Amino acid sequence: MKKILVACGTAVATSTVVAKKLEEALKARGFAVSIDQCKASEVPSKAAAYDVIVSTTEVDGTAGKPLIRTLSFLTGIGIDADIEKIAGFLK
Amino acid sequence: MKRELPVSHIYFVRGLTAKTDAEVIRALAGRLGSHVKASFAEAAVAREKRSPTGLPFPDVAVALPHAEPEHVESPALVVASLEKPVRFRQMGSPKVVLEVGLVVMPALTAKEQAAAGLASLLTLLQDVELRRALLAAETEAAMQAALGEPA
Repeated sequence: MKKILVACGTAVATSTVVAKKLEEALKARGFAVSIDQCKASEVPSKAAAYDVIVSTTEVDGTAGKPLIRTLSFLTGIGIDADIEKIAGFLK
Repeated sequence: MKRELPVSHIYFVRGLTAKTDAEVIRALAGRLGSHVKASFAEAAVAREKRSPTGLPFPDVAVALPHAEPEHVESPALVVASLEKPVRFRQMGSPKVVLEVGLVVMPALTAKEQAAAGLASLLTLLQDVELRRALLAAETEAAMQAALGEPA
């Protein structure tokens, strides 16, 4: 199963919303994924174990893993393009 | 209409006049009254500087300033429309400045925060009809009607 790491400043609020939306959107496209949340500051040390990193804020390195930095899962602007991009990394 | 809200005490401010994000936060902290400690306003101002909360929805930018649970006495929420947009910086991209028209400021204790109270507010704000109704409301009672009773 592909693994996605969702990061935000505190790992409490925005990443919870992003993770839920992302899971629903990918499920609807037939992707079964495992999604974890973390603080943006934890990304550099955790990224290696994941296929894609999604963050609402700046992160300081992703161990070479693809990073999607976006607020689209909160605001709706550009959400379809982001889901396509993420789905592309899961194939 | 029932909505899922993390708190049962909700206050409304229609057409708040303020020049800066800090002015907005201080005014709304005052509206939260005894739900928050005296330290809440400045803690929220400092947090907004450190971690801005502006979100650029397609129709209106919304800010969700807040302070840590230790500055909160009991859970509450204040929802405000601004008379004229006020500049807040964008969540995750502090260099981006947004003209914010709606402000939602929660006072959450550790209990509601653990129960993803902020996440439920963020989910609520994704409803474009709700955002429009709150912005268009001409009275605080109309804002309350738009949000509905806590579920």
